[in-house]
Parts: sequence; C-alpha cells; structure tokens
Amino acid sequence: MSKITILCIEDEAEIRTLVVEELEDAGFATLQASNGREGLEMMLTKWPDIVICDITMPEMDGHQVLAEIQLNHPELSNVPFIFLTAMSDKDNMITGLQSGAADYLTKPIDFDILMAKITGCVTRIENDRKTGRAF
Amino acid sequence: MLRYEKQSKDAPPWLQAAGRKILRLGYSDHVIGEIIPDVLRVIVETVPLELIPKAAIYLKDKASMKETLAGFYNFHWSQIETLIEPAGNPHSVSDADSKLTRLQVPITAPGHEPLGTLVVYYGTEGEYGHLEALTDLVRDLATVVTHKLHSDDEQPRSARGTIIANGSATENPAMNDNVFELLRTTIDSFPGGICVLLDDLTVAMTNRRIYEILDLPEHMFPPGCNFADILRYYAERGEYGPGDVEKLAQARIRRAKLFVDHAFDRETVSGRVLEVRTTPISGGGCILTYLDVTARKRAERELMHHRDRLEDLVSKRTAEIEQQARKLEHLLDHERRVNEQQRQFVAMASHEFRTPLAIIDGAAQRLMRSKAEITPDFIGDKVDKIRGSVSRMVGLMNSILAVGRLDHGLIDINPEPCAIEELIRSCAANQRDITPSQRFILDLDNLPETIVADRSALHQVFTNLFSNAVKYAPGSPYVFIRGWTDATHVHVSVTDRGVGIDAEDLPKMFQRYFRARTSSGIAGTGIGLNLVQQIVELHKGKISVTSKIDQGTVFTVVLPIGIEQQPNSITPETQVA
Repeated sequence: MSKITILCIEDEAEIRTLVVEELEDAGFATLQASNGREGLEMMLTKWPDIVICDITMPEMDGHQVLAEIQLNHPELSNVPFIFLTAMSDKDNMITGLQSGAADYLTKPIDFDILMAKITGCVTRIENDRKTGRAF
Repeated sequence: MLRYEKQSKDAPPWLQAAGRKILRLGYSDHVIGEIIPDVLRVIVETVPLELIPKAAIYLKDKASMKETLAGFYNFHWSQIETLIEPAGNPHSVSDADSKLTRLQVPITAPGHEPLGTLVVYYGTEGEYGHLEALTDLVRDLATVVTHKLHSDDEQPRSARGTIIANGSATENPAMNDNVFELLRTTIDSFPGGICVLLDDLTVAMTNRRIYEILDLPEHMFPPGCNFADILRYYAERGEYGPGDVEKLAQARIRRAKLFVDHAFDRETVSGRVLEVRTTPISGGGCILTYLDVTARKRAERELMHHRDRLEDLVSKRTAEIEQQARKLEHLLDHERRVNEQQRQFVAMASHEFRTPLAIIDGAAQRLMRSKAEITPDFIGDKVDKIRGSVSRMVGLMNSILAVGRLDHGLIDINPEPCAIEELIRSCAANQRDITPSQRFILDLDNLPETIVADRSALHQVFTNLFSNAVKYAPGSPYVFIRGWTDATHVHVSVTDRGVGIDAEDLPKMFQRYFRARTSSGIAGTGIGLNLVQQIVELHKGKISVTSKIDQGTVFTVVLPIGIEQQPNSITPETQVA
C-alpha cells in the first residue's frame, strides 16, 4: 500500500514547515504550497490524499480553493480537506464546513488534535482502498 | 329721455329701422353676488315710444328662479342695445354695419303666438363677458318682456316710474310708492354709505349712514346738493393731504366726473379706513358706496404681522432643527466609523496575534513531540522561530500602542537636524537584512544633507513604507527609492512593482485598520500607513499614493526641509476630524 500524501497549503512559511515536519515525523509524504492557487494546482496534478489548508492567503484564499474543487473538480471532492486557520470566528467556520471541509481547526495549532484528525482520515482512506470504494 | 335721445342720434341704421319697439338694457351679474348671492340683475329702460315701462329694476335669483326687486347699489353696468323683432330662433349673427354681433332670442309665452324677438347687440366678448352668460341674460329678459306684454294686454303704459316687482308690474301709484319705500329701506339697511350722483354730480339719493361714515353735517349736504361741494369741504378739512384746497378739490371733482368703475381704500384724517366704490350708471352719473373697513384692515394688518412673525419663527426653528439633524448625522457618522474601525481592529488583532502565537506554540510542541534525535540545530531552528514570532508580536503591539498614543496626543516629535539620506539608506539596509532577495534601487543624490525632523519617527515612516513595498510585491524583487528637493521641501518616493491598489481603495489607504482588497492573504494590521501619515503630518508634511492594479504602487512623502514652528503633538480633536 502506497504512502499517504498530505498537502499543506499555508502562506506563513514558519507554520508550514512546522506542520510538514510534524507530518513527516509521523511518516507521511508531504507536499507544500505557499498560496491558494499553487495549492489548487497541486491538488489537480499531484492528487494528495489529504489537504490541510489555511484561509487567509494571497492569490486565492482557502475558501476559494475548496469552492473551486466542489464546483469544477468533483472528482476531488472526497479528498479530506482540513482548514487550519487563525480565523476563529463562527462565520468563517460555518462557511468552511458548509463548503464540505472535513474539519475546521484554528491556530494556534494543537498537534495532538491535528494528528488525531489525520489518523481518522487515514483510517477511512485505507478502508476505502481495501473495499475498492475509491481510486 | 335725454339719454336715449343722445344715443339715438348715434344709433346705427338697423336700430332706427327696427322701428318702435326698442329696449335699452344693462345688466350686472358679478358684484351683486356680494349682496344677494347668485343673483342676476337686469335693468330695462324703454324708449318713450310705448309698451315697456320706462325703467325696470329686476332681479332674478338663479337658484330659486324667483324674481325680486333689487336695490340700486353696487352693480356693474354694461350697456346693450336690444329690440323686439318678429319671432325667430335663437341665433347670433355679425352685423356688418355696426361691427357688432347680434344675438336673437324669440319672445314667446305658453299658449300664445310668438310675440317677437329680443335682440342683443354686443361688441367683443371681453367687453360683455361670456356669450353664455349673455345668452342666459337675454333669455331671462325675454321671459320678463313676454310676461309684461301678456299681462299688460298690449296696453300702452305710462312710461315713467313703473317698476316690475316680483314679475308683475303695476300702475297703481300707491303700489309704486310702496316699491320706492321698499327701495329706500333697502338702501338704508346697507351697512355702509350710499350716494347716487347724477351726471352733473348732483346728489340724487343717499342713505343716512353716509353722513356718519363720511363724518358730514347732514344739514350742510342734503340730497340735491352738489357732490363737488362735499369734495371741497373734504379738501378744506385736510382729508386729501396738505396743499392748495381749491386745487385738491378740483382734482377730485375732475376725477369724480369721469364716472369710472373703480374701488379704492382711503384713510380719513380721523384714522379710519373707508373702502370706496364707484359704479357708473348707464348714460352718466354713478353710485358711490362707502364702507368703514377700519376694523377689518386692522385685523388684516395684525394677521399679516402675526403671519410674518410666525414665518420667521418657523424658519428659525426649522434652521435650528436642520442644524441639529446635521450635527446628529455627523455624530452618527463618526460613531459608525468608530464602530467599523473597532470591528476591523478586532478581526485584524485576532488574526495577527494568532499567527505568531501559532508559530510559537507549534515550535514548542515540535520540541516536545519530535521522534527523531533532538540536535542542537533542531533546537536552534525552533528557538529562532519562537523568538522571531515574539519579536513580530512585539512589533505588532508597538504599532497598536503607537496609534493609541497618537490618538491621545502623547507622541512628541523632537525635530533636530537629521541626515535624511543616511536614514533612508539605513532603513533600506534593515529591510534587506530581513528579505535578502530584495533589491533596493536608491537615487538619493538630490537630497539635502540634513532636514529638521524627528529621526526615530522618520525611521518608522520609511521602515513601514519599505516593508510594505516588499510585502505587497511578492515575486517582484525591485523597489525604487528616489529623493529630490524643491525650495522648501524634500520629496521621497517609494515605488514597487507589486499587486497594486484598487482605485476605489486609494482614498481610504491611510484610514486606520483599512486594508485594500489586494492585500487579502498578506499579513498586516492596517495600522502602518495610518501611523506613517500621522507622523508625516506632525512634521507638516504630506504623503500621497498612486497605484495601478498588478503594476505597482508609488508612495510619495513630502517633508519640509526646516520646520519653523513645530507643534509637539496633535490634539485628540484634530484626530476626530
């Protein structure tokens, strides 16, 4: 079974490297994008298994990325999409979850919770693979 | 029948050809409304030939269709020629000879042969009113005449003094006396003075009240006296103002003899106001009426005065209310802006503090969670991240505190000679240390060596501008900084090739916490430029911005070379505005 690949879309380099470091430490393959547009392109070309995405970013923000996936790339819409953002207000959270985000986590990041969410996603992905339900 | 004879000389051939049955009549239908509402008044005068009484005063109340006797006063005369002709249908034709229009109405009575036609000649419509009114009049007349012809059995009547009353005439002198008595009573009951003048100004008839109203001794001016004497008496008494009495009197006498239909107000020497009306009688003479309108005029004046005062008061109050509304609007506007600022501040602060906190917290967690061997490099990396974030937060706090201090007028600037070129170079160097890939192209040769300014404040200005030029131009490494001088000021422009600013956002760029649309996704507080502007303004300088989307932005700072009189701080009041 191939390694699970996780894409981290985050404009703050410092945060991105910390998240990537944590993910690699846990044995995942990682991809990095420093803004929404780059992240969207990577999703379309590299097909990551899980996406962790910031909201406030240049070029294209996190909401726009997810909306673009749902609207124009439905084949990617069951890729778990986790928001990881400093936007802690309810409006942003509701918008994100309504658009189909798997979860909405706020900064500062609690790595235990982030990793628990990832583990949950991984379990489902692996089950899907075993039963042939997805790609 | 002097009047008729006078007119008959001038009578056109058709009138003379009409033979024996000629009427003369006049009517009034407007002023009379003041005394007996909606009444049509007709006066018929016959020529001396035959048939129709010499004079008839006749009123027809249109509403009740009752015919009643009328008084003499206050009616408007127009003279119309009429004659009785063989019957025909009502129609109007132009008479070429007379240049008059001729309106014909048959005179009929139920159960009788047509008795003739009443014909009215009239000039222009403007002269005699509307054709419709005229037609009505003639119809009424025709009815009266018919009635007369019928009831009088075609017997010639005495021409003089017969009056048609209540639709029937009488030749009984006692009855006629009665009618005259009735007329006198009517005139006496008029609330003002009435005076009937003949064409030589002889006073033919008056009522009693006129002596009272004109303040005239009755014994001096009994009916039969001449009105000219009254005018002379008045002139002597000073009623017509100062001047030669005889001249004043003659002027009045001349005017009175014109018998023009008119009305005016006159103030007497005793201070009363009289409303005087002159109503000409056909063929000469007139009827004068006098009403004491002193009380009414006074009331009118008072009313006017009150109305004027009320208008003043209302407009004053309105102005006050408008001013208050404007003030409130202004306050509300201010309140809205403050609220909007507050909201923007909370959103900004929450995001801008959380990001470095996330880095600090993330680095600390990584130190704990790392599964690999912890190397000094690993620790060093995390510590750098933590310290970097802490200093980012300190910077954030400082700028928030700085605007807070500015708001409260607590920031002083201490102007002293300041090496501007060196200051700009050092700010650029600092920024390059933070973002080594950036290229600053400096052209500062035309700056003076020093200007009078607060060095640390200007340091903040240029640091902010340079870091913006880098921050909002991802992937464009060049920032152009140019300095030049005019007689009194230095100019420094900072040009980037960055994301640019919407034209709509440009005017708001220096508002506190405002962030342009194009800044979305780029960390920032919306404080920097506001702070920069305030510092520049404390130096009596100016800052401006021009920009094009996707092409870049130019900020230009203009500072006086020497500040003559330096305010130490700005007051909170100037902040609000």
